[in-house]
Amino acid sequence: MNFSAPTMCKQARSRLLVLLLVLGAPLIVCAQSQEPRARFSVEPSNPGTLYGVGMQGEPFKFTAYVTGARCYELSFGDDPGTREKVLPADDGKGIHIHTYNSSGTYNANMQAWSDPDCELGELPPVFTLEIRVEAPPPAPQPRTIVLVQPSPPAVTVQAPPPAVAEQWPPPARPASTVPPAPEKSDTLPWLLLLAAIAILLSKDWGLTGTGLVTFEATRDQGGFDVIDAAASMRVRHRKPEFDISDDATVISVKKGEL
Amino acid sequence: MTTTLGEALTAEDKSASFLKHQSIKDGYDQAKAKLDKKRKKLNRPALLDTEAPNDALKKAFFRALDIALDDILGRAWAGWDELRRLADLEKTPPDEIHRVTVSDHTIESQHEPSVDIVVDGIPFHTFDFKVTAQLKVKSIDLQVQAGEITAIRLGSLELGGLVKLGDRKLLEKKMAEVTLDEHVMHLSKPIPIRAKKSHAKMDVAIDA
Repeated sequence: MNFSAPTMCKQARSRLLVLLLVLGAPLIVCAQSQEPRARFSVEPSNPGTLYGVGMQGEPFKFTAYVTGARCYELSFGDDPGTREKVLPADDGKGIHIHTYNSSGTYNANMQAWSDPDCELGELPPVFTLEIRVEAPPPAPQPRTIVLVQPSPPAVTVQAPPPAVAEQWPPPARPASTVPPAPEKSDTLPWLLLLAAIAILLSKDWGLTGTGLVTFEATRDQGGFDVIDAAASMRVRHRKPEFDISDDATVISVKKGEL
Repeated sequence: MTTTLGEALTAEDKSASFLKHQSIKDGYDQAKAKLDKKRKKLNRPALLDTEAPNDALKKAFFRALDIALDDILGRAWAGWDELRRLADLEKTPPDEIHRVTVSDHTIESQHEPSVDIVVDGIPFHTFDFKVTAQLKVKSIDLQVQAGEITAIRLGSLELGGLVKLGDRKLLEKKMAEVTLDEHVMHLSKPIPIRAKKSHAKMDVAIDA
């Protein structure tokens, strides 16, 4: 058979179009599908994986969503007996911040309940996320910076952590948490100084000795709201236990109301 | 009955002065030391010198024990073996109402609320409370329908208890009668009688 170049090209284009339509249609349908019935996510996390990665002492933000849930029960794997009850917000999501105090790999579990006390009406299954908690990197060695006149004050500045914005699904985490090695340059000290001044000027010191801190006991049932730049009291519960004395017996059962 | 466990336990100490115990102050000092270490430049430790944390701790403590006494009674009976047979809907039709008369007895409930001092999302100290309450109940009738406790009638109720921080005793409430607003309490939210199966499932979930 003899195929001319334009004919072959045209055929290839039409085949590509058909292929795109066949492959693309399900993608479009997926994209337009309804809100999934259940989600359990954590920030920070590695993109495209089912595990969270973060630093020891760094807050992890857990977000739970199950259609019809009126209470979420979360456990974080670092204290097996502790479970947190989180009440959903108006959008149905339960958000909880947890901090791991030591490095390691933990399993965080989420169970949704149709009962606001997380006692009855389990909504299976139990969702599990693996959390990898890394030890903080060693503090950088102090550098001696010699500056020519005018001599600025020596300032040690730690950059503030980035604000965690409400985002769904969780944002991708940078591949490496270790900052790149600084380049050797004569302008580096000046750049560091400028950055330090910029941070000092832009930082909202908020509570420094101004009495702005408000302690607030947040809502019970284990849920709590972190108030930015503030201190709060967080209430957690373990499931209460009840014991009935042995002398309790049913004397009679009769039909009828009280 | 709208009396909560917190109110009943602190009936003789409404200002919750037991929360000014030395062990609580020690907790503030520990939090302060940690804050001092971490946030020296922000001068935040001074915040714990004010009265604000005391008030907040009191508020948090009462929220943790904001559990209605009838809810405690209902939940205890809901897990009681003798009532479980009445929850069998195959043997008792859902429209049938039963009045169950129960002998006088005592219920012990144990609660372990923890209150964390959190600054910028980071916990700096945890107060682990242990609360034990004994509820002595007399002349009890329960109304059971469709596997749920829908109403409770009590002749009298006495309550005593203990509040501990770790192993230190903060408050001991001697057994005393609780005034009942009404002797028949129709539960706005009926309490389902629990099957044993649901408990077993919870245990598995904890181990997972």
